[in-house]
Amino acid sequence: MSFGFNFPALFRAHNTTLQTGIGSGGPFNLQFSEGCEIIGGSRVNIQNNAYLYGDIKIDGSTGKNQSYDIAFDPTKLISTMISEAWQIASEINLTIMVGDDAVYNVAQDNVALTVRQISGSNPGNSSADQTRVFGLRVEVTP
Amino acid sequence: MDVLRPYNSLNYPKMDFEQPTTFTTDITATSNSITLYSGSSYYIEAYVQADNGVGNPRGTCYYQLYDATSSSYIGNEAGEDLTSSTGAALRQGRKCAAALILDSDISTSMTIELRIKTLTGSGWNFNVYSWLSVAPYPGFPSLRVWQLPS
Repeated sequence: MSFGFNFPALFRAHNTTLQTGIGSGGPFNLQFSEGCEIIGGSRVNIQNNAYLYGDIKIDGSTGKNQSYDIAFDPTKLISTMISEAWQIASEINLTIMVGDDAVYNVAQDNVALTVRQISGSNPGNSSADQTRVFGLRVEVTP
Repeated sequence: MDVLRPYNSLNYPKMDFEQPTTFTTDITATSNSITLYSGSSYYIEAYVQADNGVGNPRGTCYYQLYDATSSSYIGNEAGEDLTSSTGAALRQGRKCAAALILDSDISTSMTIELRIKTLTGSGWNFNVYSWLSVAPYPGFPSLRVWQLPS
C-alpha cells in the first residue's frame, strides 16, 4: 500500500461552551472549525479517509461524579477497532491508572464526538466545557 | 493508520492485542505483537489501563514499546505511580508510550511488543473487560500505528 495526504490535509473543530447532561450516544456540539465544515452542529464533515483524534475537558464543578466514556460516532469506519476514552472528573478512582484520555479512529464521511455510556449511578452529569476534534485526511492506495 | 486494543496481559509482561478485522497499513499482528516491514517508516503510540484493585498495596506501573527483533526497549516509557495517600502522586498528562521507527532501522522486518516494564505493589489487573464491578465505563485503551513514507 502507498500512503499520501488528501488536501486540505489538516482540520480541526472545537467548542468552548459548557455542555451538560448529554445522554448516552449523544454528541458534543462543535462551534468553530478550520479546514472542515460542521454538519448539524456536531458532526465534522471529513469527506475522505481521515485519522481522527478527539478529547474533551471536563468542568468538575458541574457534577461531583462524572463517570462516562467517550467515543467517535463515524458514518463509515475505516478501522474497525474503536478507541474509547474514560472521563472521570471529581471522583478520582485511586485504584485505576487511567490511560490516554483521548479517542482515536480512522473513518470516512462525517463524525461526531459522543458520550458512549454513562455510569448508571450518575445520569445527567455528563458534561464538558471544552470539546476538540483534530484530523488528518489520508489517502491509501492498495 | 491502524488501531489495536491492548486489553490484557495473559503473557505478562507482554500486553495482549485485539486486532481490527482489516488493516489499513502493511503491518501484521499476533495476539501480543505487531510486525513492521522495511520500505516504510512507522510512528507508534500506545497506552495501558491497569487496575491496582481495592485493598491491595498501591504500586507503580510503567510500560514501553519493545523491539523483540533486537531485544531492546524503544521510544519513551509511560505509566503512573499510585503509591501516595491521595493516589496518583506522579500523575502525568498523556500516559502514552511512543516510538518513531525509521525505514533505515528495519532490515527486513521488526517485531514490536508493548511490555509492562516496571510493576510494584500487588493485585494489578490489565483485563479491561473484567473491570465492570469497579469501573463500569473505563473505555478501551489503544495502540496506534502510523505507516509513513520513507
